[in-house]
Amino acid sequence: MRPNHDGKHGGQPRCELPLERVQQALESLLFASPEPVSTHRLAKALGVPESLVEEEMEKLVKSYSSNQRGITIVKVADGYQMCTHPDFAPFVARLLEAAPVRLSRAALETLSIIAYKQPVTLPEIDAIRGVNSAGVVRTLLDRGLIEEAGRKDTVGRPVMYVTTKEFLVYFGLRDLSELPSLDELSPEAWSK
Amino acid sequence: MQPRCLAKVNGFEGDVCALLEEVREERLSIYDVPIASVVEQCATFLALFAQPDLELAGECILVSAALMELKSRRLLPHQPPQDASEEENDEEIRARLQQRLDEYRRYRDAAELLREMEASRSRYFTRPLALDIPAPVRPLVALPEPAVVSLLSALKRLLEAADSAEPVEVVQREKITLRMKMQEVWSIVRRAGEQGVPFPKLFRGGCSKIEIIATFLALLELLRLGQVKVKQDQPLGEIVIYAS
Repeated sequence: MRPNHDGKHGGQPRCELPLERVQQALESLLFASPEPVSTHRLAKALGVPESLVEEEMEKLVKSYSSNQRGITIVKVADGYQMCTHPDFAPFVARLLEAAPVRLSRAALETLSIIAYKQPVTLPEIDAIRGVNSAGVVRTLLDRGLIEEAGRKDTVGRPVMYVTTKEFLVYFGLRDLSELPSLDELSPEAWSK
Repeated sequence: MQPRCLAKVNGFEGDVCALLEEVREERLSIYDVPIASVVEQCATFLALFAQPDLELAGECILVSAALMELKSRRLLPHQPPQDASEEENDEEIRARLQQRLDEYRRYRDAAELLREMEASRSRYFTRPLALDIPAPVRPLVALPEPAVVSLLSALKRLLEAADSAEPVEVVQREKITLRMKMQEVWSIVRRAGEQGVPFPKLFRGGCSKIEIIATFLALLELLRLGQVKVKQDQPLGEIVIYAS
């Protein structure tokens, strides 16, 4: 759409955002979006540079954490997400009548193998766990925590699995590098 | 706290997983573990549950199988090493097995950490995915005319049946949300896999009108989102719903 007063607003984008309102705008974008949003997407929606979004987001996150709010902004899966403050989790759970969702031990074991060794095939998972993991892998696929990532060029061309963005969101990780290092889980560490 | 399967054998009393660990660590001789008794105790324990606990049952089977493997290996005559290099091989095999066990334990411990992360993240509630916000522009699934007509007439039949079945004297307000129904329909269809679900199967017998309508709306919404497909092989034939 062209602006009405060509002389006055000539050539300017229609919904330019005043600099001092960027932070406010970011707040509303985060509220509107139930999933984590990357700085890239925030910048694109506002039509401002990513560096500005990063700066303003930092301020916004700080202002949320320093003022005692019931909402907190977390950095997860390479994006920002508004969440309820963990202190009030029991009350929110009561309100929503939400039963805690927990993965089974087998699922977590399989998931940890996939997370650390990805891309990894079913036979490789089976070899580590010593049991057939096909059923568990199917469950993880259904929950969107893992996905297929091509086939391995070996006998039988088994499907390779990797973790998804949903995996990061589920465990509250920014990226895979935030997984605790396997070396910390050295043989010494578990000889209690 | 998850229930654990307990067993009592010579000199050991406790969780069967711990029993296996004791045997593996050679703190308990496999000869002293009557496997039949362990299996029997597991079975008795599992029978206590009104609903079968598959994870626990799987664990019991796994432990029993591992014990049997260990015992059968011990019972088989041990081949004396023929020469020095053979002995070294034995050592190598041992080392490899140990390495594998170590690797497994690392992932098992990592799984414990994931469990902790899962617990702390579950304290952060996010806004639920809003179903009423229009989905981003994507090609609409154009249903062929007959499919729509068939679906509608199938709905009409169901509603008529519900009409005659509904008792008049009980008035009960039910809380049914579209989201709930979408999840229900989706899980029914997904569980059915490739065979698909015949349309009437989506509706529980004796459910109310409002529930039928909600289920139907949920089905339409899932169709719109492209999560399910509807198929009718011949006119007036059975309508079957598949997961896309």
